[in-house]
Amino acid sequence: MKRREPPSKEAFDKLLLWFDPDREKAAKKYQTIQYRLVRIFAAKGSSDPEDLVDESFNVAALKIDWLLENYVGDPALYIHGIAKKIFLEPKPRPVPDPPPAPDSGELERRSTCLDQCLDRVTTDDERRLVLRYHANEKQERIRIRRQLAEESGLTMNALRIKVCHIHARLRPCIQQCLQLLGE
Amino acid sequence: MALNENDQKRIREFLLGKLSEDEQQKIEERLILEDDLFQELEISKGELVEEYCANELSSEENRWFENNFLASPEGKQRYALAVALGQLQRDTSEAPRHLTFFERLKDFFKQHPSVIAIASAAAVVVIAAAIFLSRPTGQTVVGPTLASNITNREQGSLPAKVKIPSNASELKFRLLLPRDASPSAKYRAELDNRTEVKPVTVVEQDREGVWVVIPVTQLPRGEYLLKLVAITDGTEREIPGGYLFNVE
Repeated sequence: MKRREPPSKEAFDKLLLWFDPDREKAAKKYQTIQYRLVRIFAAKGSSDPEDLVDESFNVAALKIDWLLENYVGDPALYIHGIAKKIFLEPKPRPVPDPPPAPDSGELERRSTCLDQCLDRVTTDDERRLVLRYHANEKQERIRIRRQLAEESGLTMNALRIKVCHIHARLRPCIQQCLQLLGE
Repeated sequence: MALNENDQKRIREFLLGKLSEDEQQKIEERLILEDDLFQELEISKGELVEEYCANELSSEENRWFENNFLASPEGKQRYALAVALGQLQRDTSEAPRHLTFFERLKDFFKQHPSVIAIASAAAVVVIAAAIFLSRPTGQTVVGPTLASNITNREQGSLPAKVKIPSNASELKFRLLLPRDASPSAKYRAELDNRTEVKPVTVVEQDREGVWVVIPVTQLPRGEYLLKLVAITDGTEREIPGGYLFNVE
C-alpha cells in the first residue's frame, strides 16, 4: 500500500464538513463509516483493514475541495470506492496459514479466559444464555436455539442479535486475557 | 430496510466468496448504508466461524474462509472466542469443567476410578433403594432419599438412579442433612443440570432432612446435582458436597 500524506487540519475539517455541516454529526458519521469499512474489508481478508481505511480517508481529504464542489451522493460510498481501489492495488499477499489447531495447553488457556470473561462482562442470565446457545451440534443445536428463543420470548433473529452483542463484549476481553497469559 | 432470508443468504455468500464482482459491490454498498444488513454481517461472521470450528463448512468454503476473513485480525479474534466456546461445549458433553461443583465431582470420579470399582458392590444396595419410587400421590411422585455425595463417597456409592413414571408432573426428593446441621437453619436448594443452576422449591424440613420438589419438565434424562444452602441468622452456608442422581 502506497503511503499517502495525512491531511492538513484544514482538509480534515473540510472532510468533516462534507460528511455533515453539524460537526458532532459529522464526527459520528466518520466513525460509523470507518467502523463499517474496517469490518467489511476484514471480511474480504484485509490483513490491516484499519490502515486501509485510514488511507482511504486520507485520499478523500486530499481531494476534498474537488469533492465539495462536484461529488453528488453519500460520502460513505465514495470512501468505500477508494478503499476498494487501495485493497485491489497489486501487492504481495502470501497465502495465510490456516489457524493452527490449538494444543491442550492453549485450549486450557482459552477456556480459562472464557470463564474469566464470562464472569467479567456478562450477567448470570447472559452467561447461561451463551452456554446454552453454544451447546450441542447441528440439528440439536438448532432445536436448542429455537427452544431458547421461545423461552426468552424472542424471535430467532432477536436471539442471534442478543448473542452477537454478548460475543462483541467477550471477544476483546478474551484477546486481552490471552495476551496476559502469553499466547 | 427490513431484511429477508435472501439477505441472510447473500451475506453468507459474501463471506464465503461466492458472489460475483457486481453482487459484491452492491452488497458492500448496502452494508455501509443499511444498519440491519450490517448487523447481519456481524452475526453471520460469528456463525460461520462457529461452523468452521465444527468442521461444518465444505472444503472449498473452509479454504476461502481461512484465506480471507480468518486471516484478518478480527477473524483471529473471533476464532479465539469460537475455539473457547467449542472447548466449553466439549467439556460440557465429555469432561468435567471446574465451573460447577457437579463437574468438579465428576472429575473426582474420573481421576479415582478405584473409588468407583470399590464402590460398585456397595452401590448395588444403595441404587436398588434409590430407584424405588413410591406410588404417586396425585401427580407428585416421591423419589429416593438422597444422602450427600460426601457421605456417599465415603461409603462408595454411585449417583442414585431415578425413573420417572409417565403420570408424574413433579418429583419429590428427601435430602438427608449432615449430622452437624443446625436445627434452627432454614434451607434453600438448587438444581445443577451441568449447564445451568436453577432454584428448587423446598417444601418441608425436619431435623434430619429437607424435602424438595422438582417439576419433571426440568428433569430430562441425565445427571443432576442438588445443592443445599443452610440459612442461619441471614448467613448462607452451602452444605458440603451435594446430592447426585441420575434420571434414566
